[in-house]
Amino acid sequence: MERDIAPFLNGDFLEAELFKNILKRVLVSIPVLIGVVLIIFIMLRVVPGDPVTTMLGEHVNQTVIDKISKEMGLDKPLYMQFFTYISHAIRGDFGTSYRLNRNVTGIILDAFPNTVRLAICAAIVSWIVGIVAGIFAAVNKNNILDRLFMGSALLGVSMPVFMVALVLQYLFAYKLKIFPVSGYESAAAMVLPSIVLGWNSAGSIARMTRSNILEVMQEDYIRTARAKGLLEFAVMKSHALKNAMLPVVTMMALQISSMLSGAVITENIFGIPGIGRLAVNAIETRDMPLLQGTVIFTTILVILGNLIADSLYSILDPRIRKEI
Amino acid sequence: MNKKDNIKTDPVKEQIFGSEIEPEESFIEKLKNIISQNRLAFFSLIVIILIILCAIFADIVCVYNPYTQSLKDRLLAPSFAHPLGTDELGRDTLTRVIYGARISLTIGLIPTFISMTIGTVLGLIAGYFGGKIDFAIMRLADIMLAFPSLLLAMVVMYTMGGGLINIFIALSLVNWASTSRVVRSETLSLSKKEYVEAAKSMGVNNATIIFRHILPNCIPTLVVLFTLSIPSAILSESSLSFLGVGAQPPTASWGLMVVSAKKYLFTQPVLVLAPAIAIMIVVLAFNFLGDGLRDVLDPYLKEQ
Amino acid sequence: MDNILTIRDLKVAFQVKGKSAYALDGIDIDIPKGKIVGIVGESGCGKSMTAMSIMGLIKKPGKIVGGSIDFCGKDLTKTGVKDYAKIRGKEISMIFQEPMTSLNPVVKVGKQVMESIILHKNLSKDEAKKRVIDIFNEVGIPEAEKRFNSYPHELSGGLRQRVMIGMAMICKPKLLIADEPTTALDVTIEAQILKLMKKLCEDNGTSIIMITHNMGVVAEICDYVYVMYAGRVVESADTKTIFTETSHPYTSGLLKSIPTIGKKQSRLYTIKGNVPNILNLPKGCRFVDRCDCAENICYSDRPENEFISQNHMVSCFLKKDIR
Repeated sequence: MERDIAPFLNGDFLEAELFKNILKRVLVSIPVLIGVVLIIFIMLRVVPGDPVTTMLGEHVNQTVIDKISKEMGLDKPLYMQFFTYISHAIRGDFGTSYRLNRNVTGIILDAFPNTVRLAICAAIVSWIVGIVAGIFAAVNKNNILDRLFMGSALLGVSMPVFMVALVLQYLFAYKLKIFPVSGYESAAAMVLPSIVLGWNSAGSIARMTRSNILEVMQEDYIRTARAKGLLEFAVMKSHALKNAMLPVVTMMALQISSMLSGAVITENIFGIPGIGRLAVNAIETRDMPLLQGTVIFTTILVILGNLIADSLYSILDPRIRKEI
Repeated sequence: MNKKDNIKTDPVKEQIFGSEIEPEESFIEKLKNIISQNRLAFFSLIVIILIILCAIFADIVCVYNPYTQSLKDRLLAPSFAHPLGTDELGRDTLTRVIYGARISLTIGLIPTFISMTIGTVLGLIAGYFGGKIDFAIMRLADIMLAFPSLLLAMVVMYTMGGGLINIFIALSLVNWASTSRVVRSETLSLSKKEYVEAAKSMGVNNATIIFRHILPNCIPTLVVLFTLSIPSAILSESSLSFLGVGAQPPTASWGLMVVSAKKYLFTQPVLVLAPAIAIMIVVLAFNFLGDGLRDVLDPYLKEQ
Repeated sequence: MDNILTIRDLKVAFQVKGKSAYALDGIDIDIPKGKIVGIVGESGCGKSMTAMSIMGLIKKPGKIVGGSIDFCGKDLTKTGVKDYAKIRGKEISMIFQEPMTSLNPVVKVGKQVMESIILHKNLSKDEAKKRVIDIFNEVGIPEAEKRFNSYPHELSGGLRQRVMIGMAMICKPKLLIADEPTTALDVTIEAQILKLMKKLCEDNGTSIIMITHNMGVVAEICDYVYVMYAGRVVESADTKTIFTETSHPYTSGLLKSIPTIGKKQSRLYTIKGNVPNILNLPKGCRFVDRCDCAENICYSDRPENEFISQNHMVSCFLKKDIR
């Protein structure tokens, strides 16, 4: 499909507007980001018990505890700790893990590629399956095909991620032995996790695509296109799809958030050492800096996803491009 | 996509029915119409009522106790005595699934209610008073919405430890932001209405305006939102329990049952499937009911 | 007769609650070559349905169940989907009421107009673009080249309707259907647009079907008029006859509801009541419940179409008496 990159053809004025618009969104995200860090920081500090005691165990000499507390800056007032944390975080330093005794940033960056790979595979699955199913369902409205697609989409939205994971594991890994039960190295091992993580999003994308297309097909300009002599296929391709897909594109970017949340469970079931796995490990081992780092890191990704979604919308929709 | 300002008249409808006013239907006829147009939603409502009854009267419905272990009866296959078999500690699976409904429904209803109440109050305040309060509340909502909700709930659970009560608190704290946004935008448009302006000019105090004129008009939207939020709360609880940061053993929570039966997935899948399917049925039923309610109460509230 | 379009006994029905509801119940319309024919009536009386039947774009569950639409020797009711698409936009084109919603908001207007000519005339993109700019000039869009790259929301209502007219005229169709083309526009713009349409049609020999509820528009540009009521044509004649020898009470009602400058009226005339529900039509004449001079026969029998002079058809028992 031919993309209109009209702002750049329509003169410098609109280009500048668009740039300003995106810049504004970036600037608005910064206080949100600081708020996120602050909330996580406070939440983790109200945990009962002394973190150093938790880390070292009950039977440690009080002087040792004090010494380590001092080393870690835990004896300072909370607001000082916060500013120290922020200033380090800006430089990419999220502190040191209690348990693994390693830099949290390094641990996260090691795990990150695994999560990204999983999320990309799942996104591809969900976008392709979701959009194709949605279009087919809309074209064959109230057909068997429509009901079939919409039924599975609804299942995708309603089934807990772990259930999908376990059922697929049972069928394809245990009964049919097509794919490995767990792992992340080979392409075959990525198939099941991608489907598990993608299904839910595919369901909501398919539902949204379908309802948008059906709505758009009622518009006056579709009638105009038909009156021009375009056949149904051409009407769909050059007039309905672009309008119907605008909100879907936004939704796809927003789903980065739900993918990352869903990845927590998927990674745990399939034994993929990604960020979600780290978060659960951090809770199990009560590793506060690691948990803090993973949550903040993930939230930054989500905020970035929202930013991309908003910007995409204003690039794609000529009406919004000018309004703001 | 931008909502259209003008309400389109359907020329076909107008031609068939003319511009005559349709005759007034009686209440029962209306109800019949609504039910026949939303059969799925009505069926879901019946399913939900049945599940609620089962959950309330679990002590009467069930023959076994959900917590009594019986090691000689462990991992029995489904039979007449144990329709869904027994788990690794010899507890009857059906009984535990029924008791699990109690937990899931409470989790679905109460934290959702609390978080929606918080969201509604904040949304009303933000939308009605505007200005700095509005700005502060909405930025806080932005921040809450930026968190992946499961991770945020996990952090709360980390701080307070596992257990049902803490799940209540975690879910109540996490999900208010989207409600507050919806209520705020509704309040904004309502407070521009003539009758609100009129009430203001007559010196009616703010609380009366909010509770008499604005809140009642938000109710349909809130009912739909409430129904559609229940399933996500249920799913969150099961996910938290599944990850081991939610309900703690031996609680008969569906998520917990799935995780403890995971080892037996390949030998006795019914142990995993029973609670998982139970979750699915409840979630589906609430989704259908919510969709149906939306069609009836508020056709303009689109999927978000 | 050199009629470009001949409609005979056209029936369009909808299945509603198991019953057939006739949105069009046996209408006859002739469109002579190069003339402007008005179809008037209140909303919901079948004007737009007639237009959509000619375009072959009736939405389900509506269906043509009888009659014929003869267009240059071809019966459109029996034309297949692909052949129909070759006629639409090329030989018959249409202008709609609401120019804002009738243009795709996310596609440049130039491209939307170009689409039609590329489809029907097999032109290259450059040639097509030149033609679009030509037609934009012709329909009076200033700075045509710049406007080619505009989006609909960047244009005023009048300009948008000019774009629609350009889109409809670019293939020089034999027949142009205009469905209330000026209802959404300011009165000053309305006159300009009507003038433009009339000029274009004279230049290209295009016939126009002008659908409107505004008798003023009819008086201004139409050569012939069909008055429709509840899915039937109740009176038809050339414009002058309709205004001077009005024979149907509905037509005279429509004429009486036009405010006239310089004439002192205590109150503007209105036709009482509403268009009836076509599932629940009166047994006799469809207009009977709203007619000022209905007699007993009007309640029991249905009036036939009757030619009272060569070009003047009326469907009423009373005819002469009411004049």
